[in-house]
Amino acid sequence: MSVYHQSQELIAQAETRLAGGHVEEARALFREAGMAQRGMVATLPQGRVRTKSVFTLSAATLLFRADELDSAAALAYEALAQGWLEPYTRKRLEELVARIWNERRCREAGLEGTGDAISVVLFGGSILHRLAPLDSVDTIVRTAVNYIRRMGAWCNRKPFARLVRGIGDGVEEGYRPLLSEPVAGSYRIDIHLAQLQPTLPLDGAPVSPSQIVDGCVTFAGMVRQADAQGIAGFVEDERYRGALVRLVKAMIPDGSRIGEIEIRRHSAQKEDAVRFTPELRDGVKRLVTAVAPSPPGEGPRSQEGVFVGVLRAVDLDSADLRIVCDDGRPVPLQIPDELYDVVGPLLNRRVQVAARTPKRRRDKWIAEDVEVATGGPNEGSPPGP
Amino acid sequence: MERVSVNLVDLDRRHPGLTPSVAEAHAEAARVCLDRHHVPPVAIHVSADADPSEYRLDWEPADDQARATHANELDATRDGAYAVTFACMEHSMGLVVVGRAEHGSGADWYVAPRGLGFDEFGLPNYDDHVVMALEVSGVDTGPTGGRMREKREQLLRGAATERGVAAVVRFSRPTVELETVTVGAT
Repeated sequence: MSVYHQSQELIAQAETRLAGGHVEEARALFREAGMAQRGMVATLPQGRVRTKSVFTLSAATLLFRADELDSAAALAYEALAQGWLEPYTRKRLEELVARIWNERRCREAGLEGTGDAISVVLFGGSILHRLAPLDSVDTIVRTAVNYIRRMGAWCNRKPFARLVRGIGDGVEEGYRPLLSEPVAGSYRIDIHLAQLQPTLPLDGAPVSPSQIVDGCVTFAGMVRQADAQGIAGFVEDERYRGALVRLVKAMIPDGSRIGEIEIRRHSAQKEDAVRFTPELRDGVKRLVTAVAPSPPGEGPRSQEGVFVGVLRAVDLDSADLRIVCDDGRPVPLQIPDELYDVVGPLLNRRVQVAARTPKRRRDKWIAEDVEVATGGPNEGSPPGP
Repeated sequence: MERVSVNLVDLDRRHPGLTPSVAEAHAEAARVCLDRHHVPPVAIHVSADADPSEYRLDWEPADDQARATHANELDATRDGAYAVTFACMEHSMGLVVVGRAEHGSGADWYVAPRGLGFDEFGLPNYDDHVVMALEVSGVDTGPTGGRMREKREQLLRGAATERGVAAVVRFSRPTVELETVTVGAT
């Protein structure tokens, strides 16, 4: 068997080991394949530019996958310093060098590399080429990050808490979300989920970023299909279920500025994305009621109402929020824990809040649903109670 | 008229860029995917640069062990699509696998006309202009137009060769679409 075929066989074995979760064994095989291909490059005649380029890129990528960052970088820099590389390979090697740089910086910051990633892609009338309205992007990205965090907490079977703790808040947070710049072609943001190192085996090893990303995409797909049974089986805890389904609902566009949103694993094909369009909103609202009934009932309701105005303040400790209605009235409301993730990204945005009061406290409004208000203050927004 | 018969056995003997274990693994994935919908043999519609043909595709049904090995539907569909593409492409376009493309190379595989694409030492010769990048996508069921567009765009964005082939395989109503693309950046 030629060296080339040996390297192909090693790669195939490495992929199999990797799929089986044997990371270290896979890395050793990738390393061996990378070294073999690096050796092949050295034996090729100068004139075989394209072949040398392909094998150089392949060898450097294999060494990167083997976690041999120094060797991969050395090979890439050495090739880039020479004049013979084909432009296409040059570009790919430059991208690889950037990835190696990111990996190193992450590790210095105590993270296990750049982790796995979810892509959130926005389409619609207000989305330009790599440009999008700041408030819409800000809200959706922060909602997506909350969704990933909440899914991470569920995957690690943490007891439900209003706030999924952030970095520096202790041991509950084992991950850090990292955002990419928008990617050309639409408005795509990649949210990488990096894992802190070393992992803290408090209740067994934390799940990997890859498992959390899988959970996010699978759950979003179930919401898209209105698969109430699947959702209940996937997230047995009613409070987590309530929080997660509301987060997905919060990312569904209303069609005014964003016409479609796509959620997918970064490495997945576009066709495997979960897509949400405005016409799905009503169905998902019904799904919320079906799979995650209104948070803490506290007895019969006395009155129900809808408030429309700007969300001005959220008190993290008392779970209170205050909106200033379109007519200037400030209205304090209480938010249940399941809505907390949704409310945070809406601060200073014009929102519509469906609320009720308990029978014995007609002055205490409890929010049941919060979403971005459609239309302006004078464009037929629903009246307050 | 008797249809051309294609099969998934011994792909490595006909495709010099495939090792026996890789060929067997992909063929096994294809058998699992085909078993979801069919009993062998089945007619498979192949369109190579809009030139339609119909082949007779035969395979040995997968056993429980194979089904367990390929339980991940996405991976099985991708790998199975490779095997079906290779089997049909050799008949419809006279192309065989030269080698696997590494990540970041903008393609899944490299292919070339049978007997070409290798140097005197048996190494893939990407400087030979007959070598083409191959991008494959598989779907279990449903329309394939979007996949073909995606694969075509992927090749247009760049690959290491001047020409490429975009391929889309569907298992439910068995079809293989193959389209030659002139690569954008080389």
